[in-house]
Amino acid sequence: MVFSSTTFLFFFLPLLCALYFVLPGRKWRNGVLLGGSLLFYSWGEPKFVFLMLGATLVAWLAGLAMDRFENKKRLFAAAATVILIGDLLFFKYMNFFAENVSAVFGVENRLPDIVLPVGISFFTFQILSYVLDLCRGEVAVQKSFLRLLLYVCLFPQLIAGPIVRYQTVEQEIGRRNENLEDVFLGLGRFLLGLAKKLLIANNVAKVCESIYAGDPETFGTAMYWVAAVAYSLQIYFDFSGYSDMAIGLGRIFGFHFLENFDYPYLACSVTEFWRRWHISLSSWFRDYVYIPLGGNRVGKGRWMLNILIVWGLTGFWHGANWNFLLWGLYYGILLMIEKLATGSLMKKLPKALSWFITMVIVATGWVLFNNTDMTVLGRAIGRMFTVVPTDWAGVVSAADLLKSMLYLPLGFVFAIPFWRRKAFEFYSDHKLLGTLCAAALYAILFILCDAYALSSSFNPFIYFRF
Amino acid sequence: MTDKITRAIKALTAAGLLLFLLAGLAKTLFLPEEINEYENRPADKVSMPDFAAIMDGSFQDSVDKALADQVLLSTTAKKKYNAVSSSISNIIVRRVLELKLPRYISVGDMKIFGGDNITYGTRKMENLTEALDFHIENINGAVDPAFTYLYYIEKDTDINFETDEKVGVFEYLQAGLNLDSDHMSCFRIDSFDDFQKKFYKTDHHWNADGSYEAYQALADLLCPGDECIPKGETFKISNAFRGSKARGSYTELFSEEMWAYHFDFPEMTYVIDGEAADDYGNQNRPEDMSYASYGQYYGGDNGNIIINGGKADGEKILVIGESYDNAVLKLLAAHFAELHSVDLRYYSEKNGQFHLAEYLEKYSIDKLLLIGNIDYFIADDFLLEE
Repeated sequence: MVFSSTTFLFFFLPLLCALYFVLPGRKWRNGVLLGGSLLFYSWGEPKFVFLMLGATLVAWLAGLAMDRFENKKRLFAAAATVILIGDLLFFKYMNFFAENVSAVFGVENRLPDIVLPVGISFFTFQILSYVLDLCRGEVAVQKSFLRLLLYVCLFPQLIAGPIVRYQTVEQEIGRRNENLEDVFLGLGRFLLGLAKKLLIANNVAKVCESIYAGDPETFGTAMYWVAAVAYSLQIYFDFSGYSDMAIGLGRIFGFHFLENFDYPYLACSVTEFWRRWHISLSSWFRDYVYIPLGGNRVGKGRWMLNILIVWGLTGFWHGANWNFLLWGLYYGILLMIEKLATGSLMKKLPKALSWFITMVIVATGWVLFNNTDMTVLGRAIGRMFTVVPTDWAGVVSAADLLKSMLYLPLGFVFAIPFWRRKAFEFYSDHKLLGTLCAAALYAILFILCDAYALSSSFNPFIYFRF
Repeated sequence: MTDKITRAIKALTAAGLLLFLLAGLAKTLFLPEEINEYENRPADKVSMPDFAAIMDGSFQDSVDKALADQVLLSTTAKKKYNAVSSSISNIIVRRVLELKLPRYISVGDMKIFGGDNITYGTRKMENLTEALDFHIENINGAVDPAFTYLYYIEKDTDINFETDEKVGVFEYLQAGLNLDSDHMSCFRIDSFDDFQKKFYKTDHHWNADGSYEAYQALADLLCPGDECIPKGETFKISNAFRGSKARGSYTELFSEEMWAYHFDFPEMTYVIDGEAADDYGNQNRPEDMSYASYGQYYGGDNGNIIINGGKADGEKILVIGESYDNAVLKLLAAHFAELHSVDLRYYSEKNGQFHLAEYLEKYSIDKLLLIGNIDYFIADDFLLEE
């Protein structure tokens, strides 16, 4: 189930909210959240709920063992990590490895197609954060399996993040205070995220799709850059919209998740971009891979290797395909170059120029990320960095493309923090009027998203009843 | 006081949204609509859950679809959204059309050419050969070339109007089929001007001029020397005819005049799917039509039509085709003692399994005509023998 589906909006969410707030006591409310979260996860693929339960059981048992046998903590943590990573490798990467071994060695690939369980990358990393933090003594053992399961499968962040670490919600699982202010602000954050996904991301997505799927003779260098910019906006509004919805839903139920995005398209360097983009993932890799490998407190050669390992893994985490690995290594190499050579130069450049260079790098990176088909990827990169004229009459002839392009300015406007900052200032400075305006804005966003979500199911039958 | 009011506003907003959503859910589960009036189809409802349906996801799909049809104000929301979306599309399309570009304008799944002609775009031969070969083999194995005729109908998918390059399907069929060359003919479209003259702008069928030209060619192919029924006066059927191509959400702004020729048909009798009928189509009584459409005027896609008495001493012909031939059946019937029409897509619905050899023998058919456009020669529905 996804947050923008009619089932979530009109069935799951109202029913869960009604039950949750009607019931008294933490135990009952946690029970409703747990039951609802399991229903949420199993809605699309019921059988995979057992995989998630199994992974949680491994972490719970490892946690109890670590608590009981202090001197063998590392052993239990390592065993649990191997099982959890093995689980991820099997479901997410086995097909990819088998296909490549088959292609390289010319042997028949007899592996049956393994279906990827939704959200496995996110919940595996969350469970690992519990095991590793427990091993480091940063969190207390969770003796209740159900509470640990609630942390793992809490529906707001279950299938698309942010990667919420156990320590972030450790206290709130047992003790939290749901209040009207949190419900109101959480609702607003959810609607804002929904609008980002439905109204902006879904519409600008068509720009990039039309150009990549269109006649290569029509679209030249300029339009391939438009496609790269459109995809940059699409992935930002899609993913940050989903994070907004997750953070907002968490807040409605009294959880306070950390921010996952901080206006990444304002970054003036690659380093800054990654401090602002998918913060929960980059900090996860920093804390659980990069620093344990020695971080930057090692020799230059080892440091460079650490960077490449971390960014190779970051890329590969996003998907089992060469383009993701390429995308990760692209950032690894760029970050090394920035740290070793160009970082200080970028700081001396006019801010607009360093921002422009960063955005060119980021947009190019998204082209690598977006295209799993190496032929399309090669053509896209080739078109972007050579001069190929665009057949503008052909572009104008694509009326649907023109319509989708109308949404690009909306993307530019809302990719900067100005509006949100102004809205919050107004809300804080004018309590009554601010609340009224916020309520009106919620209503408008709800109506727009409602209409968009429902219209995607528009399916007229021409001859019925004639 | 201000705090109390702001708290009340917040509580009302949250509770209002929740109640609205809950009311929609209650309506979906307990008071569902039977018909979706806006989309003109039965409204989706939540199906009864069972273990198998839950495991294969069909129950979940039914919930998703039912909610989209049943929640409060869903029709209003869809109407408003689609109206705004269509208006934006229409503004863009009109602006682009004003540029009068000599090329296809892509709108949704359709392409506009020459200002107001909705087309399907050109097919590519490399995507067609496999299906064409299969059908050629099927036809060669099923028919007797001595009395079999073929009429191929070119349309917008057979030519690129920007370059006038043709796909060449008829030539491909000619090369593959074991029929005499004088038993095969083609309704040719060699340019956009040709297309404009012979086809509707908003419907996929040929227009009155196109179908009359085809009738003349067919009469010449099947009954050389016979005189054709002359065209009578023209009369208008509709000022705002919206054909099949104009029923997409982006192309509904297009409409056109629909007109036809009057013909003096001989007295004939009709049997449609085994039952006697007064007439086929409404060519003799257009006032009986409930709305303007090709099928309502010329006749629908019935599985089996038998027209008797066109020419007392004539031969018997079997026409195996699709909707394009609807417009020429009555004209053609005037040249035969008996005209049988079979549309393989619908034949078995009311007439049982179709067996060509049995049919030919049962009705002592003298001539067999295979008539259709590209879809007829590539779709499995039109295979003569399974």
